[in-house]
Amino acid sequence: MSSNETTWTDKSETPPRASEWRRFRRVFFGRRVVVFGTVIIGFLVLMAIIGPWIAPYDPIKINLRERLQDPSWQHWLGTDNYGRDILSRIIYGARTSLQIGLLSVGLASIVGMILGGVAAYYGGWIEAIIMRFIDALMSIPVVVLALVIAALLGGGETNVIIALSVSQMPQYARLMAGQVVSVKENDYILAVKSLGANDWRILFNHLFTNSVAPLIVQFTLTLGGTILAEATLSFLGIGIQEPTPAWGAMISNAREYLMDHPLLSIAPGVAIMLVVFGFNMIGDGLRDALDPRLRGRL
Amino acid sequence: MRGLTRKMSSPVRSPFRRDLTGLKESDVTTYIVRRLLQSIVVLLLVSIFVFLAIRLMPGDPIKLMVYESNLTGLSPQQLADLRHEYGLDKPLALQYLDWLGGVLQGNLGISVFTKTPVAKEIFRRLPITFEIGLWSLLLSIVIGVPVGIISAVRRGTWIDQLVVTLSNIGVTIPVFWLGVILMLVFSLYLKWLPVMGFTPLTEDPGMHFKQLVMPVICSSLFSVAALARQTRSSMLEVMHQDYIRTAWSKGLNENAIIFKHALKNGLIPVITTLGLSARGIVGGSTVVETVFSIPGMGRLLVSAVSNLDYAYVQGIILIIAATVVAINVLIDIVYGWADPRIRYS
Repeated sequence: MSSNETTWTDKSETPPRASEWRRFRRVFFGRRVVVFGTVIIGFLVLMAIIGPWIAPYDPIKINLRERLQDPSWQHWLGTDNYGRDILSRIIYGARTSLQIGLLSVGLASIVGMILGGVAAYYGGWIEAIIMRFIDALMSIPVVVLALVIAALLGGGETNVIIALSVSQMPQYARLMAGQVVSVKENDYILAVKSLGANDWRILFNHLFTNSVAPLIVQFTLTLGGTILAEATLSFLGIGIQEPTPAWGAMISNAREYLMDHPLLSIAPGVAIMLVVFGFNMIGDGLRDALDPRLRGRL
Repeated sequence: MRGLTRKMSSPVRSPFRRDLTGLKESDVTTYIVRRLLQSIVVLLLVSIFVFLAIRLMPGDPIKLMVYESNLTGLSPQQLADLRHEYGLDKPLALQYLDWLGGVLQGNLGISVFTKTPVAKEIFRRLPITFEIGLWSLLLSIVIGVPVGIISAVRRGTWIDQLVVTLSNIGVTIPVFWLGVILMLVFSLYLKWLPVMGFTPLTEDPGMHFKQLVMPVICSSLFSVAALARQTRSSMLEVMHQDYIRTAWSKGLNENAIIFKHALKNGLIPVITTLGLSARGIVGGSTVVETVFSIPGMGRLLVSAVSNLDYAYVQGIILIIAATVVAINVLIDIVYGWADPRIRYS
């Protein structure tokens, strides 16, 4: 395994050799759906960054004279019941979704990795306590857990991020625990230990770096799920609050006008689907390209 | 994911160990007893977690109630009395023990808002949620598994392509959005189905089932897609194994190979996915019941959560967790039964 070599070169990680990179590209871009997914996510990221410059209208400015308009050259996707331009709200919504998704999955993965890594590395009662706690969290469905935590904290962006990360964290803890258990008995860990490395150094420099591939895959796959969960919370009225543009809340708000203005409900839903699809496909592609053995497990 | 956890945590935590010696009746009993004890620990942790989470969060139920019912003129003394009446002035540990003691006797507390016992209302609504859940699980199995098998057996054909594409799309559709779209098409445009609501079976069976069609489709969507994907990939894995090649080479026909040989091993990982699906369906009830205005437990949770109605939130989460834990125990037992190579230890 190449991990044995990187162990010694330590922090200055050797860049992957050209052939490895080529192999990665060949496998990753080998499937058309993965390319499609990458394009969607590239577009999403672009929207999130340059949205404010390209959005035709202010997404939160109320203009009652133009309420509930059908699609036209002025408003490509029409306007909602406050006269706000739907296209602009969808563009700004990309920013909301991506920001919340990245921050909550980031937080979830850091906390989960530490908890899972520590549990599996030390074993014994530390493991028992941490893993029972993780079991308890996992016995509550993700949406329910996020819903309750977000509501109790009082809604709003920060609280939604906390709620989503608590509910995604157990998956990372379990993944990490499994990785550490399978790696910690290797000879090179014993070698590092005998050289006098302390526990934290072993955990961070050796055990975590050896689990990068499955974690990257898991990260991408949970991003889609988290964006979906955020939309669900906003739909239920407990996530992002008006007037901040959020796709889930837009659908909830549009239900009253479903019969006469179905596009108000359809458009944000399509946006959510595309983004979740994009992340799932990239996740699949990364899994095949980074570590085909993960197939069927992640 | 469960399959993964089992594999990864093996030498340490796995209840099963691969061994070809077969299993003894007493091993199974011991295992089930141990698994049940573990579940009780998990549920106790959930109860502590829920209790603490709710008590330590911002927002005071008494103040909220006073505000909601326009009783803002109450004196501090009256507020304190109210607090005392609901036991909110005791130390946290005592409040928890009081509550837990009640829970064990089937008393989940009294709602600060409706002033009625929480358990009664929850158990009145529970059958509705369970009915939708069971239909959804059934639909997922009846559609997801065969579709996955066909897709694996006909790998690379247009059927396989279609199944893969549809199941990839299926796991991305937001459930609430699907509900809205189904309503638009089948209720508003085609007028085939009632828009929303719920009618008890005893009142009008026809209406009862008509109103269940869309909610059941919504709540099973994700698990249909997930089961199809899992069935396909585990069947493909099995179809590559030596014993299947042997079966082909000795001239068995395709049906015998698929149904007698491949299916038995191919469906084992699917059992795990089924457990995850059940958990997803329980969680999804919050969304589905809200979209279709169904008076089940899920919608009750959503409204309790918005009102910060502690007693309801605690009670419903405990029941949801208990359901999920029970399903997991059942799945683990079925898993061991389906795969005699794994031994209870």
